[in-house]
Amino acid sequence: MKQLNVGVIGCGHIAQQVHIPNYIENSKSNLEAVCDANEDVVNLIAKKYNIKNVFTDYQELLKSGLVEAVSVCVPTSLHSKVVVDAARCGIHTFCEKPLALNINEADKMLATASNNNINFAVGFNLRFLPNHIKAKEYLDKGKIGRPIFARAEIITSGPYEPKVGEGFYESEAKKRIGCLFDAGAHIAYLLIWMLGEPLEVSASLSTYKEGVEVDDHAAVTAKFQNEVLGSIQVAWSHLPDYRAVENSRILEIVGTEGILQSDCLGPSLSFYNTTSLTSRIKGIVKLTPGKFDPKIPFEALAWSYKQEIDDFLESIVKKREPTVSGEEGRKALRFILAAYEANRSQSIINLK
Amino acid sequence: MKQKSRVVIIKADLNSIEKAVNESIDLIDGLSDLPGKKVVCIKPNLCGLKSSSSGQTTDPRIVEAIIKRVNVVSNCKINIVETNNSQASADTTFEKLGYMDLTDKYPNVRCVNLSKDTKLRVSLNGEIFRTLSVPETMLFSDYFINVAKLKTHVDYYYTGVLKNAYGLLVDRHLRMQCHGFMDKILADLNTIFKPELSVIDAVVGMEGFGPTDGKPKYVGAIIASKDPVAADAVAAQIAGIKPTKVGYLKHAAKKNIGEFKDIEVLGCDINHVKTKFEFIPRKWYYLGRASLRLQKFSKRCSNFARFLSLTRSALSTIGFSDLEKRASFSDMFGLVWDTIFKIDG
Repeated sequence: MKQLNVGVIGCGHIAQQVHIPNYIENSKSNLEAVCDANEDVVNLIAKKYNIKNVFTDYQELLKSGLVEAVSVCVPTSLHSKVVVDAARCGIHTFCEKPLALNINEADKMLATASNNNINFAVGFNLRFLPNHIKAKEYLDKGKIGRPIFARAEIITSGPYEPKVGEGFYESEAKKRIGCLFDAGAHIAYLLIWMLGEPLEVSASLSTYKEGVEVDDHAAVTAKFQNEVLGSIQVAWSHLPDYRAVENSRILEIVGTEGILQSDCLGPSLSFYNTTSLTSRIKGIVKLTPGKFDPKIPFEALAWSYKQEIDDFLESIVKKREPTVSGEEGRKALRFILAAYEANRSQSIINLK
Repeated sequence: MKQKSRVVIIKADLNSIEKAVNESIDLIDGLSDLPGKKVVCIKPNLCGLKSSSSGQTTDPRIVEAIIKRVNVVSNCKINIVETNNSQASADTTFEKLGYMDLTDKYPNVRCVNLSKDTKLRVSLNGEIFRTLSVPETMLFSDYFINVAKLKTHVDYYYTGVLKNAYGLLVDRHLRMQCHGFMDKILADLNTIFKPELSVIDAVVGMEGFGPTDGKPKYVGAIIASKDPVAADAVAAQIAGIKPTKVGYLKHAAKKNIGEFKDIEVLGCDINHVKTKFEFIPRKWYYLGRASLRLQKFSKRCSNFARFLSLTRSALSTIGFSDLEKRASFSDMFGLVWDTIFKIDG
């Protein structure tokens, strides 16, 4: 099978943890080049992973003819520019979330991708977790009846994680991207995937850590089609011990005949249905689809990252839309931006 | 005062099966909880390809009689469920034993090969199963009817309703390896798949090297109860086997799955159908028991090997320092204990 030559632009945390190792592992790709403005970082990575071509200017990488696809892992404020340039060079693009800082940027990215006929994917890896896929299947099959309420909640250490520390992620946080934009985008997208786009959004955002200029905790409520109410709670926690917040990462959908609770980071979902014999005997039943062990944390999450990269590559090979396309990324962005606007204006934002 | 478990015995021959099934269900009001249910699963015992007259498998005419009664009470889907056996796939078994004819005759009936069904790992935290791979069809069934066959069992003296649930273990290799833990396995399986109606085909049973290689033994009865343990206790007595000798039956009673002793028998007198099933020579029985003990030991060893492999996988995925942050010591200890001493079914 022919391998796709790929490159990674921006070699920060997510590139090192997800994109670079997964392109190297994937049999469909050949990681041909890496690029980062920081020469020391990019050289170190090239040496570590034995990557032949190193760039500090992404334009040179795009024009080198070395790659057919790139991952864009630069700060969000630069997504639009890099994606548009990549699309103009006819290079398939995988952009990390959130898609952009505003809808105009997102629209420009989508239009350029479409005009240049490239595959444009966005990094909402949670879509690939088997527990969420199962939850969506049960929801669509009416296993919990008609959905009436949904809740998505995630508390992560985000940039307050000591390891991430003083890196660009934190400086980005100080400048522009709050917790709702960061982790919130993931769960906003999960809600959209499950229930469709929201029709009305209201929100309250706040900051507790001194010196941080963006939101580090947020509460959003939304109304979806058919009067389904939804809420998003997201926070960055400085608590050093992950166990303190491990129960605060749930996607819950309450229906007229049952309930689904899917662990945001996988691998399990809990299910209750008013008629199922198993539910009547056991109450809420914890299920783990696929090959994962319910007690081993983060194995499924690591797998979801592999899957999103694989899906992007497969979409190019098979000439199909990526599962999480740029359009999907735009929907999540629109939701999040509406929440910011609702908080700023202290009003309900109508998205109909 | 606690109500006695009721078990009904109705005399039946090959020509009066439907009448006997109807009578037995009526006497215990066996389908009283059925109205309103949408999906019914019926599990016959199809552990091989021999016909019901050989004593190995459940007579499809009994299942058909139950289907007719269910259709009178409720407008629901009916799944006849079974997993692959050691001789053939469930699909072949359904075909050869005449169960596919029922799907042609009744539009709401389908035969489901659970071995091919989508499986989900349920966190059971049972006596022996830490997790259990459950077919989606079973998970979403609203009502479960266990239709067993009265047989001797070379390792446990008797097999009927409770043991029929062993066939719901979808992993056939696991089924072969776990006979040593039968008491606990059946308690777990009959907790999560507790039948709301249990029927035992005792028209022709099996004696000797049961449950697959014995000889047919004519008994001429249908046994039914809402209590699976009570149904088995009465059926064992009919076969001339003391229920107290059947370890898994005693264990299930201890786990409150059903009543073992305090039973009211309806229909015909137990002495009118009671017989003596021939059992295998003692030396073969004890040899079998020794092999089960070895099987148990070897399963523990393979669990320990699995624990080592899981440890490597967890540490290589997230590293020890992160693992320490993400799981408490008691969680980790619980995981170690469960991985070694419990089974993922």
